[in-house]
Amino acid sequence: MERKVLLDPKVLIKFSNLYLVAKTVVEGFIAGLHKSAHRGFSVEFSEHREYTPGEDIRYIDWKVFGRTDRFYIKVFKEETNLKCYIILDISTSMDYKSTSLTKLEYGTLLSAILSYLMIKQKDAVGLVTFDSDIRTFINPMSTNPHLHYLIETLEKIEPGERKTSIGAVLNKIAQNVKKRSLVILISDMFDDPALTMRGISHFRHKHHEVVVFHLLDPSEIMLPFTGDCEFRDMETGEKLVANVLDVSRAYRKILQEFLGDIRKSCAENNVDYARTTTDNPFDYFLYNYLGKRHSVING
Amino acid sequence: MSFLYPFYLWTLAGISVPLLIHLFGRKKGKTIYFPTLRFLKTARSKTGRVRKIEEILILMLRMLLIILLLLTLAGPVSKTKSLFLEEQFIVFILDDSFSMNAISNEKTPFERLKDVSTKTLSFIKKPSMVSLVYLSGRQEPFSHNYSEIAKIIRKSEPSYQAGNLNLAVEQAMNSMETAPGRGKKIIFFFTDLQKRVWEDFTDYDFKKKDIKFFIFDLGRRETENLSFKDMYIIPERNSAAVEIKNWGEEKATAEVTIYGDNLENRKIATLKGGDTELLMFDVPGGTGKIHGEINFRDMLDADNRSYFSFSAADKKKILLVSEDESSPFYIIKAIKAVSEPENIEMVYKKPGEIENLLLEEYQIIFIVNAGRIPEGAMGKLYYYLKEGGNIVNFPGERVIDKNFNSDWYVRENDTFLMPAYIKGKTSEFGNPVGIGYTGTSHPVFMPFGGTILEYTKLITFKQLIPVEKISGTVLLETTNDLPLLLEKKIRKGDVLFFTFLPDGEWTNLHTRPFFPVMIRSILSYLYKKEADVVVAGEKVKINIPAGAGKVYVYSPDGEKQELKILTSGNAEFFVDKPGFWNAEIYHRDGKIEKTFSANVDWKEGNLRKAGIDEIRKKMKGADMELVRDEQIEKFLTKRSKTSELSYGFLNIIMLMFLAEVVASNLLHYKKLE
Repeated sequence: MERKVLLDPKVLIKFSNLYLVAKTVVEGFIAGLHKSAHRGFSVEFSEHREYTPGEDIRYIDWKVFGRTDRFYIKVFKEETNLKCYIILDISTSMDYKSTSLTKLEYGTLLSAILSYLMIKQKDAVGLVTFDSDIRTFINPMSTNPHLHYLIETLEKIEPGERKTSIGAVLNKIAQNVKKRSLVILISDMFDDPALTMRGISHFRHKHHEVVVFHLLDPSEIMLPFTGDCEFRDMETGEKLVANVLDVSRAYRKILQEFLGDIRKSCAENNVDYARTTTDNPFDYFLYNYLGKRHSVING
Repeated sequence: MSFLYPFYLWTLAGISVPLLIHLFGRKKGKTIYFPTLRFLKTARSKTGRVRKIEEILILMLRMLLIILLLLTLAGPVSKTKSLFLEEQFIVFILDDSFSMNAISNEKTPFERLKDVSTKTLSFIKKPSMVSLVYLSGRQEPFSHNYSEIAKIIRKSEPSYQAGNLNLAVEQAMNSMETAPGRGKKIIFFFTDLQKRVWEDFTDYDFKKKDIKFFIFDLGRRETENLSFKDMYIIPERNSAAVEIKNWGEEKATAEVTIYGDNLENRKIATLKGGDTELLMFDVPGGTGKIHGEINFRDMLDADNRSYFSFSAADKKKILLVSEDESSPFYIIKAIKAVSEPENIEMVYKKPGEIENLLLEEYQIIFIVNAGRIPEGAMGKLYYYLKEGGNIVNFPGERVIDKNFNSDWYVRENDTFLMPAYIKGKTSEFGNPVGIGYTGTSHPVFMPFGGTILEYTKLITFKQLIPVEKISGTVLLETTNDLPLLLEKKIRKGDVLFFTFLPDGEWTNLHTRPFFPVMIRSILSYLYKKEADVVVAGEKVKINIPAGAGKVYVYSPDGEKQELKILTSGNAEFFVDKPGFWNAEIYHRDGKIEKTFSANVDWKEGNLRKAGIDEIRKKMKGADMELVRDEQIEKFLTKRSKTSELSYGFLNIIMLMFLAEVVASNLLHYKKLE
């Protein structure tokens, strides 16, 4: 797939209108999907239709061909009753950036894009923001005005001032979400992994489908600093002086262990997990994620 | 270890620089607001301890590097190896004894001494002080003026004397003890290691003296070497006795010539290694001055010549002391038989008259059966002996042991003048006894040569005076081991003591030809001192009679010098070379001439070297090192290397610097991984 320059976060950040950004991304993205197998989040089979030469042979249902000796194409019907909760972490740690976007900005954009994409597919989308507690809770709806409301809310998001408490907040949200829904968690996951997974498990227990978009800044992975640095924890204000050369190797190892643990826990709980960094273009991220998701669903 | 430039040690404070950098120089660095510190904290706690150890190791490496660098600048030198450091008091003991003249293929030991000692001097640095002490007794005080000291050494010449190491060590120790400052003390002894010097050296206790003693052995291996041991004229036999010695190990044959007025007489002598040979030469009567030469090319030349002067024409005065005139009868008879009557004047006196006599007029005093000697006379006899007088004593029948033993004891000088004490009464033998032992090597018996036993075969003794506590040498003995003749030297004087009277009551000796020959030999032996034989290198004293005016002395080369008459009534001059030294004393009654024959110390001809064990034994507890001639250059070069440790330090610094670079880089790459 050809990458659109417009979808690069560095470019998108220049747009002041989040709706416009979401529209640009989604439409560009959908246009790029014409020849793609991906059809968005609604992937429910609908009917068969006779194959017309020129169509992608990948969608021919070979089982039907085996029975009837004719080519039929699988047609997926759009799901219309999907409810989705986008849960966005706005804790102070999300306000970090080493590139053009903070994790929060990236998360906000991603939330807007997802909202736009899903509401255009007639799905209902709600929004929850949190830090140590729930800060915003918007129930899912699939109307255009609701989309505008969502985007307007996202535009107004400011980073929280407290420490993340993902596990507790997820538990709280899970109690309020009654109907089976798709839950998309956008966070840097900087909390106790066990508590976080306990919150996620709570959703799984209630048969919600959970997707975790793990946002990280490239600097958090590479620690690209030099010499002696005084690090200050953005959430607690705690100080730590260290020589980056001394600690970087161990740091990267520990971080990879942490990321590995989260990925493993998600897999164990049948939770979709996708990690991205804030310098990663949205279309590239979404394309990869949705491609993966589609292949998983279709076996 | 010590340092050439100790002030650099102050810069050792510089090691605090890396320490301060380590402690306080850690930059705070930029402040980075970071989402979470949980991973950083764990990372730091995991790596911190190892990093700290690594950093401390590198810090220590760097500090050590700086320490070594600064120590190198301070010029480290090993205390154990390097000499010539810090402030030192260094004494050069220079062996200028006669043996240092030994000639071998190259230089004489003394020429080597000059080279080696000046070279050693060139390594000495200020503020060290150097003093010179010669084995001949000369001494130069401590000085910083090394060039002047070198000049003195170069001008030095070996003496003709034997060296006195005891005196030199005493002088060195005294000068170091009184030296100002607290420098280390070193003695360098430049010597040929002659055995004789060490044999004469009394054990010296160096314990607790804190002195380093280096002996530089410059001696040569002894080859053939002959020397004159003795030479004198026997006027009564018209002959000259010459004794020569072969110090070497090999047999040597040499022509020996003696020269006198109108005299030149040669003989060939062959001596085995270590042998002594007596040669008799005919000399006409009245020959008063002879000199001899051994025509033999050996290591030492000066001891191949000998000089002897004898006032043969002088009239000899002999004093005979006895209670009665008959007792010395046989003595007078014998003396008259062997002497020209015009040359001999015999004076008879009783013991009581000794006090009023001018004893110095008499060359020999014969005391025969004299009984007691008055106490006042004894002091006179003592001074007579001390100044070179001679007594021949036949105590005889009048002697009572207690009286004799107390009479001859000089209380004020705590000296017993006789060679033995008498114990009890005269012993009479039932059967006469003969002569069992003769001290043939003694000059008195030397004229008899190998025939002495033939002479003494028929001599018998009927009675003897028993003696005990012998303090002299036994020259004759009976067949039953009783002393017949004893000798004792008192300063310049000589005492001969017979335990029998020379008459028929005691012996038949007087009837035998042996007796007058022996008396002549005794006279000759005791006259000998008249010759004024001196050892070259010594001061000579001349007794100047009252009424003398000017005194001159002529060296063997004819150089004339006027001597001062000292308040003691003597005049002194230094005999600096062998040969005849003639003195002229201008007296109101006329000119008096005296000849001194100066010879080298014959024992100095012995070039045998002392062994290291012998030296160590003598130098008790000395911190001593013996360096052989061939090792001296190497020793000096090695022991004077002050930069030796600096080179070592520089090598270590280079290695440590490499280690630091490698360690720092390893650490850096380890961090980067």
